[in-house]
Amino acid sequence: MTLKKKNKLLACFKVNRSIFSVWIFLFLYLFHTSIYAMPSLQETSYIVITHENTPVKKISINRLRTIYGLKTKYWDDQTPIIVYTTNPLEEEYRAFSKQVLGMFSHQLQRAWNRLIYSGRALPPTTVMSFKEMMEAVSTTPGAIGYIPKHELNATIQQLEIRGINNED
Amino acid sequence: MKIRSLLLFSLFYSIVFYGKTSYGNDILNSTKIAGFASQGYTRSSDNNFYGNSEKNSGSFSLREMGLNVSSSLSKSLFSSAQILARNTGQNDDDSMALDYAMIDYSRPLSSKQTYGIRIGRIKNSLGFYNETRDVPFTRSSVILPQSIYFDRTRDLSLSADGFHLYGALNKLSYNAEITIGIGKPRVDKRSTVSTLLGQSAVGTLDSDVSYLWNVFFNKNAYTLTFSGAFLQLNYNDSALVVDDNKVSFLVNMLSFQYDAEHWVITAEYADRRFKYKNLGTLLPFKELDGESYYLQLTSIITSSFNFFIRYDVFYRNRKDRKGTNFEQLTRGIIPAHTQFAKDWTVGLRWDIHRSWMFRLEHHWVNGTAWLPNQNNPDPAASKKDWRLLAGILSFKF
Repeated sequence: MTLKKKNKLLACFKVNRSIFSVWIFLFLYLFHTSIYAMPSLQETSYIVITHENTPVKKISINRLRTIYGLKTKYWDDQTPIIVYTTNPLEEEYRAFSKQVLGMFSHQLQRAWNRLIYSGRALPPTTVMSFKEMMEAVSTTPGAIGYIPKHELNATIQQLEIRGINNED
Repeated sequence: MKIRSLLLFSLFYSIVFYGKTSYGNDILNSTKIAGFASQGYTRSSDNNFYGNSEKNSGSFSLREMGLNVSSSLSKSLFSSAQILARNTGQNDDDSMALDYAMIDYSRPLSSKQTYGIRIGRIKNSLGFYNETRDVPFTRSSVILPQSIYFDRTRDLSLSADGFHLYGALNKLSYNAEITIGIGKPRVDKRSTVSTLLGQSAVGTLDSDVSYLWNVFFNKNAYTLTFSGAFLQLNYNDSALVVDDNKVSFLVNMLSFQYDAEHWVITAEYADRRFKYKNLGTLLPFKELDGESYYLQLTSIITSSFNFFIRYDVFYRNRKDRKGTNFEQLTRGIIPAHTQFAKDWTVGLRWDIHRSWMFRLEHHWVNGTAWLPNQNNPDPAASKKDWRLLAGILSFKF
């Protein structure tokens, strides 16, 4: 490498460093303003559905989080929990994660990846539409999924979520 | 190696399925298979990283492939195994290896508390990324921050044969998990010997009983992890006059992550302490304290596109950060810049499809402390300031 080229490289390195400090200030400012921006559990446009034989009809938000966090693997009887999800790159996944579970979708994705690829959890099954979700959940024992409220019909069982202060 | 890994993998799963059928559960429902394959590209201004990256056309040496099976056997039994092939353009790569194979037995103490034990070959839970370091879309970049997740001694950090005890607490306001592991780490690579004991070491290492710990805590946007390991290795070399040649290694890590809707901040710090016993002929010191840390800021632009900037620092010896003492000790044969590395990186991630991911990043590096010595056999010929462009295309199912 010529000396000139080397100097250019070093200059680039220094410029990069000052840009970085600007970034840090920008981030600190944004964090300061968004510190309470963690999603709060709100009125949701999604409902949680299960297979009709599932022994649980009501569930706490905490339990639902451990199910969707792939930590709880069985229902209270001996049925394994089969978790269904929509495409994580699409808006429905983001909205469900934020509104129902109170987590950002990138947090949920990261938790899934860590558990699945270190052999600690079963990967969820991805469906491409809510129609497919309803078919799969209603025909698979132990299945759990989610759909928009307006899609609910008599053929599918809704899982009622208890108040957010109820931990069990 | 290839056939043995495949055999172990299938043997493990036939035993598991044999046990499973007696429980009478629906095998198809509670068994899942997942896998991935990726192709990387590296091109550097100087020095070689993942193959001969210095040449004009760059290097396509980085290839990673994995296949895993996991099944819920009963309410308290879970099993999983993964085979992995990874090529980085070095002569001691894994064509195929059994990455993990374990049985997990857990019992709930209450609706919020669980404790359990894992037995088999288990991934080492060190820092945020060590367990899944070979799975491209779980990483934070194409090349993980090398100060902490360095490739040179990766076989030691991958997984260990033994058991883990763990306890987890899941409350609405926070989650916590404690893991303690005892086992024998895998150490079968030439690069590990030459990294720990220098290029002139021609013997082999084998591992003694080692310990691992991990304390994980998450409250809303904040995740904090304290993890570490204590490793003991024996060095076997008939050329050494004195017997009982040992290396012990203590690492402690602190990891922090903050999540906002469109931003993630990640920082990790590692403190490494080496002690060498009867290895004076190979190394000029009996102790070595190293230090590593990085700070990464990720901007999540959309759910399929993000951008990051990172500063990553590595010192092989915290008492000799500039490496000048080391250069003197080696009478100028090994340059000072092999003792540190400071790496600024900017990069992007694009999830083209739910199965396809593309990543591209650029590194500006000062120092060569984490440069693989197999691709760069002569430390004196390495360049202190260098740049590296890295890309990866990855597929998963």
